[in-house]
Amino acid sequence: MKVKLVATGSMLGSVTATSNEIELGCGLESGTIEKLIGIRNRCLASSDQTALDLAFGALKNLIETNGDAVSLIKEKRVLVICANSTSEYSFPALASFLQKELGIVNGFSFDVNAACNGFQVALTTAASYIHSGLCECAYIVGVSVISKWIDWQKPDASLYFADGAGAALLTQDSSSGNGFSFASKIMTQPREVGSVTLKRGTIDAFVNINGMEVWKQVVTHFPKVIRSCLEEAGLNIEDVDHFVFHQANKNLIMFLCQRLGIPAEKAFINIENIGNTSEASMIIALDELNKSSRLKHGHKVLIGGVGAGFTFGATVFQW
Amino acid sequence: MSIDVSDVVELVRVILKHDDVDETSAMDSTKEWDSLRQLFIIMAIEESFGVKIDDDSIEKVTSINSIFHYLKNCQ
Repeated sequence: MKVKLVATGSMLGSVTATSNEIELGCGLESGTIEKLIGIRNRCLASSDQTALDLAFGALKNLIETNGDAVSLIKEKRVLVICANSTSEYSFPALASFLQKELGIVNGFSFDVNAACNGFQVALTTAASYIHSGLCECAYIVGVSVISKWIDWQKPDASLYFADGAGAALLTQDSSSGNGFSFASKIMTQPREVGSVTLKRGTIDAFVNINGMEVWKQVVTHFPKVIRSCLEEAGLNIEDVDHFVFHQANKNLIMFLCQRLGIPAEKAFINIENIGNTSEASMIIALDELNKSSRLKHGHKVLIGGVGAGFTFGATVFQW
Repeated sequence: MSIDVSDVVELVRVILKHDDVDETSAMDSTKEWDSLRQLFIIMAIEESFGVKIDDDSIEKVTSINSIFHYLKNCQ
């Protein structure tokens, strides 16, 4: 069974904050964030915007802009899967709220948590469910409202994060032929599991990051996972038209491109005006790429990310 | 190409914009040498010395001494 991504949507936090404002708040020299990470502005949730609001907004955007694709899945058995770790609910799953809002009767829903790599894990999970026949199509949502868990007076996590949501629709691909459709790799290296944490339940529960350990993990393992995914798909770097990486740091993306031999123009980057939206970053970037018309039928796209844990993943698919 | 440890010190000093870098400097003892700036240092080393640091070694080149010895071993 082949699978196909047929539609995307997104919604960003409605408040724009400049890096200058963030720098003022945490005592950094003006220009530091843009120079080191590449973020000029970022989107944050307003005080009354929740993860559920953003997730549903992204789905609504997908439905409004892809009516044909959505109508084709009527009567089918649908999975709704939501990657999140910073929402207002521990339970029930945000995905269950989304299923209700979508009016899906013939389906099931659950959340996954793989932090910043959540969307890639959710996408891979959804593809596996379709492969196994448990469902015929899947709405996959990545959402993060992490700004509520940041100590904005400290110059560590505050440098990176932003809020938003993205959504994708994955269906069975009934086209003939045995050509490449979808390949995925996920690997968790738990040795430094405590390097990026959000431990709730205390009055000062904030995101903590050991930047040095993140750096070591990313540069050591991420390229290997990307190469392994391409090998699984029988593809080379030059066969891929677009690389959509987790938008954590523009310089890090360029560094990875340099090490992997990826031409800079093939790496889609939108962190400059959005920031790092964690679980939502890859699907928001993919949605922007899709709506920019640069993404053409038949193009091969690789998405890849790293999340706290550390969980690494890459998925390559044909649009 | 002959490599002197002072070349490595100078490269790191320029990138960190920090005069107090010397042969004993390392990431864990130099506040300015953080993971974000390490990206620039690795890219500059690879470009300046014409090497490609392999995936398994890249996390280890975190001091002037370890960078220098890595470059010496590449010769």
